[in-house]
Amino acid sequence: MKNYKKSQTEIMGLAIIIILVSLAMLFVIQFIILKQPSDIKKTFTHKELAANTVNTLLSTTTDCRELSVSQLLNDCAEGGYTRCPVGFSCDYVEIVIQEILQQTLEQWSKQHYLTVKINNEEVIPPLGDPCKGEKTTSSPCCILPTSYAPMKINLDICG
Amino acid sequence: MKISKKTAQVKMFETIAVLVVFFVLIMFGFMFYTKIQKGSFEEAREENLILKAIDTSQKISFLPEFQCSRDNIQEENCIDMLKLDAAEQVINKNKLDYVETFGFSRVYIQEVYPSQDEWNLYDLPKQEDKGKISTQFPISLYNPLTDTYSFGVLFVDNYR
Repeated sequence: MKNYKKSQTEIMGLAIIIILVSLAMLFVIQFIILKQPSDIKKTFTHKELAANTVNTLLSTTTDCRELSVSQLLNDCAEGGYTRCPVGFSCDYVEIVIQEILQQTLEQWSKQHYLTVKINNEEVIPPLGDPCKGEKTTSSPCCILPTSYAPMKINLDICG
Repeated sequence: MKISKKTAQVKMFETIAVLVVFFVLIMFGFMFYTKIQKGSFEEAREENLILKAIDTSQKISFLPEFQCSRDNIQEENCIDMLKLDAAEQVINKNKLDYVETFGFSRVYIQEVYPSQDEWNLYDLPKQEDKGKISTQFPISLYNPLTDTYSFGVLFVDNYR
């Protein structure tokens, strides 16, 4: 009878330990689940920023014969024979994009990497440094039709 | 009798020690929990401010006071510069009408390329200065007179 009571007490102790461990586990799970939405919001703001930057950039009118950035890129892909205030369309569009990115993303300390490609061939040299860790990309946004093949403009925002 | 009394004392001491350790653990757990809760509360507040900024930017993009249109067709992610000039004055004169839309925030638009211009649309700070969270949204600025688009940035600063 005495042994029976002792084992009951032992089981009670064990039950308390299990309850405490379960509470701790619940706490950890809750902490992990609560952490996730902040990443979703961060991704959303970065995604919005990347897509908006590329969209706005493409529609911007430049000083080169009042052509837009997308028209200059198109001209560049087709040989780049249009003369601009500084060099031809390929050089000028690169200068314009660089200037805009310097005054926006670089000023807000957002590391970025912009590529303009047709069939994996670069139309203008990539701007910025490739992201080493996490990144948010502007794609599927921003594909321009050219006479050869679609031109893909992609902006990665790191972090 | 003497031995069993001593054993009982040891047992009691053991029970008290276990209880002390138990309560210390509970206390540490509670302290840890409150610290985490405080942190996540601050985080949630910051996130809500960012969400509010996104909400405000969306509202501005679709407000008829600003939106670009061609042949009565609305353009996405675009603000009409002429409307912007007029709206700057109208909003600042009738600030109270826009409190529900913008809340405690500062909304301004900067032209980045080709020229540099700024429109201060709305500013309503809180009485207590606790800083602000700034969110930027690139946006096209359309000039209907020259039929050109500039690169602009919509800034929404939400006061904490």
